Amino acid sequence: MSTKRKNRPAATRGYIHDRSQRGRTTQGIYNNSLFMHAATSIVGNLAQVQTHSGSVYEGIFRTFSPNFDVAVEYAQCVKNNQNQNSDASSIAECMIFPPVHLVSITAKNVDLDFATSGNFQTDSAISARCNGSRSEERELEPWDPTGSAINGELDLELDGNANGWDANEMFNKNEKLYGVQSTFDQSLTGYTVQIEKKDTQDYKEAEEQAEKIAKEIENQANYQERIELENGDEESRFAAVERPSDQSPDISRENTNINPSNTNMSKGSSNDKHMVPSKRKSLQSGKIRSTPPPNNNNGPIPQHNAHNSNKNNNYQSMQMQQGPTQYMISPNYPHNMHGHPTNMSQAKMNGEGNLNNTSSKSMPQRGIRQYPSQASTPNSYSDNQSMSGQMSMGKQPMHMSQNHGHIQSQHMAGGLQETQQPPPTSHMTVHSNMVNAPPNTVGNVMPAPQNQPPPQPQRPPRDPRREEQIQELRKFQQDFNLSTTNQQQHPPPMNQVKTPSVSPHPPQPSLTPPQQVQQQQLSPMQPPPPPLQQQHSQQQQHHSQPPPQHPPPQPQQHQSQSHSHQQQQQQQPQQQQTEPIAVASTPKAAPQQMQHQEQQTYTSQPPPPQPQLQQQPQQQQPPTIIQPANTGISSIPSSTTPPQQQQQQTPPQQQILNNSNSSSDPSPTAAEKPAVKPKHVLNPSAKPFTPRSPSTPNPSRPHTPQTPGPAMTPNVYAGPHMSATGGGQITYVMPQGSFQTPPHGHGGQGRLRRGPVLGASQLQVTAATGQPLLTAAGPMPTPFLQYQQAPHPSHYPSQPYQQMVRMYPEPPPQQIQFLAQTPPSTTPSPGQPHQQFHPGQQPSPAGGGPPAFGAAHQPHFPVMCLATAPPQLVPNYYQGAQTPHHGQQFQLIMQPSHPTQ
Amino acid sequence: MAAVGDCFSIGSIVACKTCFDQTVEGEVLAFDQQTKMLILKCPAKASEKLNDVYILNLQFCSDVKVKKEVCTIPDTPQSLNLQRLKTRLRNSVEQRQRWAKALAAGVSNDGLNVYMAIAKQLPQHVRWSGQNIVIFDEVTVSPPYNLENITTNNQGGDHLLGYVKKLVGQFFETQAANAAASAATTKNPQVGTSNTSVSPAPTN
Repeated sequence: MSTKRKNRPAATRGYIHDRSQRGRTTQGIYNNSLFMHAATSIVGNLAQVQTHSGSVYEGIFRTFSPNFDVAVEYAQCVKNNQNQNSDASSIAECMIFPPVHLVSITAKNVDLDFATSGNFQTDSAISARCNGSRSEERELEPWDPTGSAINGELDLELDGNANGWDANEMFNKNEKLYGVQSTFDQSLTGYTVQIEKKDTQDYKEAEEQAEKIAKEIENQANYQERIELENGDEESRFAAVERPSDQSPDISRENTNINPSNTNMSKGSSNDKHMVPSKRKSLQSGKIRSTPPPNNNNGPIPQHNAHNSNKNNNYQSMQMQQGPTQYMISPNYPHNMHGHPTNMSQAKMNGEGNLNNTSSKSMPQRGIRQYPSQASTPNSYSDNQSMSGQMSMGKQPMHMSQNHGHIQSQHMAGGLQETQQPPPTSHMTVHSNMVNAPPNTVGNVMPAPQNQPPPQPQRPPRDPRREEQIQELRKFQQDFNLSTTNQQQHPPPMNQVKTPSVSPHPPQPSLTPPQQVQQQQLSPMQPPPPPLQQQHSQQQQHHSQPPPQHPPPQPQQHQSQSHSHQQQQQQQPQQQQTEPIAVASTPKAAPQQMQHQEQQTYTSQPPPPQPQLQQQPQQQQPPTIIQPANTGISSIPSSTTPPQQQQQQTPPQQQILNNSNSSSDPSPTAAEKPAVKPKHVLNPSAKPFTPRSPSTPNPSRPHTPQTPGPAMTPNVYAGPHMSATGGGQITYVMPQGSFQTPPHGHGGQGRLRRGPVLGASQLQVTAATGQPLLTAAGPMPTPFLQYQQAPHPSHYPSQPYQQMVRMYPEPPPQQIQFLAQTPPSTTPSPGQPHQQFHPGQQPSPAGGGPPAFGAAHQPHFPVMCLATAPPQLVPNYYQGAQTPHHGQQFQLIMQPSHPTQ
Repeated sequence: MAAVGDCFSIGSIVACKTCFDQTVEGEVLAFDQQTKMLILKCPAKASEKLNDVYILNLQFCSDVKVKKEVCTIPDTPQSLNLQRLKTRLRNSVEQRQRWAKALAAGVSNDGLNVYMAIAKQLPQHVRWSGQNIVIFDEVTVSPPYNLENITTNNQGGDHLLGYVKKLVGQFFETQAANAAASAATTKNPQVGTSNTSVSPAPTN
């Protein structure tokens, strides 16, 4: 029955559907839509059915028939009036109640909208239902880092200082925790074609070639820049204020660099060829504007030197390129051309020199910075001169060659020196060999030359370019004269040097000694070269300036320039001397360090130069001031240019050179020196800025890499400083300087002390402007350097330096040293010489430093050295120098021989 | 029997008295003259949204009074979602079946309520095993059906055990709350059962 009834309802329901949907006619209550709607909405609810009998059954209202027979599922008799024995347990699966028995059907708590609403629920409808539950949502609580922070933070942080995870560490951890085996292969075999290493000559050659090319690329300024941009730490560079020592070296380099820039500028104007486009542009672009004119004015020669030095510096940054370019430049100069063999050797050296360059690079970088700052040519000149001097001593030959102007200036200086030298001559007499060096020292010592140089430099620059050859000839003549004079001058330095060697005034003497030594070595060498160079330079200068005046002034200028540059800082010479002293105080190694330090100091000083750069004239002027202080030389130059210089000097001192002034002021007293140093610090900070703004960035960048390692840089700087004067040469110079420094230092100290103010002030100034180099190289070296520069000056310098180093131990050996030096230079001029001379320095430069030295030597010397076996070179130089070889280089060589002789 | 108009206007308030002296008053949802069936809707006591629906056979009613007559024409009722009604019916029947089984097992009301609470969430996985409620064949709730009586035979089945305990705990909480609110709902086991059965239905 039940089933039938069920079926019925189902059928009825079907009818309902039909009716509602199809409009069929339906039976009974199914026709009553409202009733059907109301009744159907109750389906599925629990309902109590009360029957006529009074029994109440509870069950789920399932359906109804047209007659309204009601079907209830699982009906339980809740209340049975008729049958008391109704069991609670008796549940009928389904009960159907006919309408006639129904009294009422009650459905409690029915949701009448359930069947109608629910078809489609909107978000609001859904959310409406959830209101209750939503109210239970917890309030958002702000996270308090302090509460659980400690643990949490600790958990979140990596190892305190660790900079991320090491790749291997990650691999290990993955392997430990997750069993992941890394397939990383350092050779990236899966991504690249592996090079098959063959043990064949061709392969080795190809490998070397590739290595060479790689080096060239890596030594390019652009490459360095980009690498620097990517990996460089500008902060470390420009954090000089916080790390004065480190930065100061940079500054010194920068100063040197600046000088180069100046020179570059001058070169750019005078010799576009020589200028490395990028370098020149960079250097010139920023600083040139301000500095170039001064450079030109100050001394084309210096510029040449500067160019060389600049190039060297640039090279240092660009090392490879610079070296070659320098060579190229040098070749351009007749002297250099003459020296081509040497140049070739140099070129070779350059290859090696790259290493040196690397070391020197730091220098260039700094130099770059300095350039902007020291835009003032005087500094550059002074530096250049100093560089040249150093170059003459060691590597500068390149510079020398390039630095025709410098050479000229040196020549000029030589002339000046002659005039000035006389006083030094006494010193010179002391050390015949040293004589050459003495001139440098003298020059350094001789403030007057410095004073003169500035003016001369200005004139020379113009002339040198034009009438370099003619001037060279004249210069040669003058130089020869100068050389003699220089020699005379040198002697005094020698005396001084000797004294330093004694270690009375080791520190200062040491500084001067290097220069002196270099100078001495150079001087011997230089005497011959000077003529050429001097002639060239002088000629140039003469062209620009009256030859006579120029020659003397030039030497002086060179020196003076160097001095001026240094002096620009006023006390550069003194500083140099002071440096030498310091060097002297410390053994060679120490000297080197000292020099480095000094150089650093110089570097530090350079910053002031930057301001000076703007006021380059002023800087030059300061030199003039120095000149007066220095010696009568100043009188000569002063006669020509001194007044201006002096005037200029005065202004710069007042204006820009406050530092220098201050330095100069302090220079007189040791106490002041320290003050100057601080200034240096200040300057460093300033420099950074300048480098960035001007073109310097390039050089600076290369340097920056070096900068990272302060120790390295210092050494490098020292090297550079040594070379700084001449660029790479400086390095040699440094060692030599260190060696020399003792003697010179003594002399220098004596002189410095003699020029009390200058000594301290100069030291400081030199530190700032790099005068030390100038002072060291400036007086003696510059002339020599110039000579050397043109042809093989660099070689000479390098050799001289080496010799110088040896010299330190034994002055007489210098000749031998020259020979010895030449050999080292020839082979790996940088290497051996460096090793011998630079051992001390090398340590510091270690990576870059030694190479730098080598490079520096190479650039200048290397070529020279390489070209001619050191010993051979010397002879060659003598021969060639005197005759065929590039006048300067050979001359230089000759000079050394002469002095030695 | 009683004098009933041919028609009760929809929406009118009508009061009538059954043969068992039960007075019912509510709004007229529908009336069928053939069967004399009157459907009244009265507001439910539990909630205003819910209504108590009475289907009265006027043949057994007296004193039919129209308290308030509305003459507005009733709107066409919305179509019903028969599918939902079917689903509700099926769920209700299943729940009713479980209840019937529990009842057959002779379980106490507490046990029955716990069972229904669990069945609400796990309708397909709850069964009676004698006096014990068994969920997923793992967790057993044995009389008197308190939290401490919930055990598991699966050493690793902590997850399910925790879930069941949570369900039972919530049930007890709501039950206590309801008891506090109104004692009436719990007086009659039938009411309770009816409530439990009803509540799930609408949700579905």
